[in-house]
Amino acid sequence: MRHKAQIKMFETMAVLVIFFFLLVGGAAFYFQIQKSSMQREIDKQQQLIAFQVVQKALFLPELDCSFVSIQKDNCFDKLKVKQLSLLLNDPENEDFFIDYFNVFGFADIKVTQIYPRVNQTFVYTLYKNIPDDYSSIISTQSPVLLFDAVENRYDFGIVEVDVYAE
Amino acid sequence: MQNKRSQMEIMGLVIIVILVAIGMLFAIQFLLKKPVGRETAAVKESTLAANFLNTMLSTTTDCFDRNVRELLQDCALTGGATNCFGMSSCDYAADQIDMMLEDTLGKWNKDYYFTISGAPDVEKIKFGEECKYCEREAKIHPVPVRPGFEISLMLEIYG
Repeated sequence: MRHKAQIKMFETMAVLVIFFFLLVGGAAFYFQIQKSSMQREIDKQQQLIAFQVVQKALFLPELDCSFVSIQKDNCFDKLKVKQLSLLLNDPENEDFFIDYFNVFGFADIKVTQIYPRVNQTFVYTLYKNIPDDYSSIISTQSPVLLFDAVENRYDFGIVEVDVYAE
Repeated sequence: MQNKRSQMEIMGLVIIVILVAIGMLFAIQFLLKKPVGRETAAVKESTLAANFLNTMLSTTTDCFDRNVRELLQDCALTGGATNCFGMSSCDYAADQIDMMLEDTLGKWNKDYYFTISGAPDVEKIKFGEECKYCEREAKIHPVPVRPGFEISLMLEIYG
């Protein structure tokens, strides 16, 4: 009789062990899926934020090419680019830099002329704020017209935006 | 005999359950490995194609300070009558467009296909390789040449 009861108890324990084993396995699997779906969502949000920063950089009113209040699409005035770059890279203009931090956050924005190939000296870093610690960099490039007011011509340039995700 | 038959049935059910479980595991793995942010990438490529065409057409060239749009209009209308450093406007425009494509999309390792349609002389201008079964973002930019006559520039960027 006692022997039968012991077997019954072992049976119950075995069932409980298997039950908890399945429970832990299921929970681990569920959390793994949740973790990867959350990571996907975070990556998607970071991509969207990076795209927003690019769009903000492309439509900066400080740099637009406007003639009699008519704005030309997708165009930066070279003189304005040069001046804004000088202002933002001057350590004395910290307040100015903080204003732009609210717009761009942690990013590196560079404007480069690529056409005409001769005289390709137009390379300016508009804004640079790299955090000490970051998890990823999302790089985006976009073509932009560069208006040369001195020569009255439009050159082909690119805006390169690196957004740093913490 | 009855007992053995029941056991066989249970074995069959277990095999079916195992197969379904394996199938579900594969399905979950496939879902988890789907590329992240494809929607964002598509918007980015579409914006890139539109910005490229817009920028390229308005870029001033060294040929009498005409922009690429004017050179293509001349090519479509006259077959390239304007002489640009010993080249016809068609050849010169093609050369400059190729340069811009190579220095941007080419350098960024993006596969693209650029074509112009609407006139026989501009239709010769083609760059990149067409990929019929690739995921793509295309932009078409019409350029009026004269009333009732326009050419269309198309840029496809493959993802």
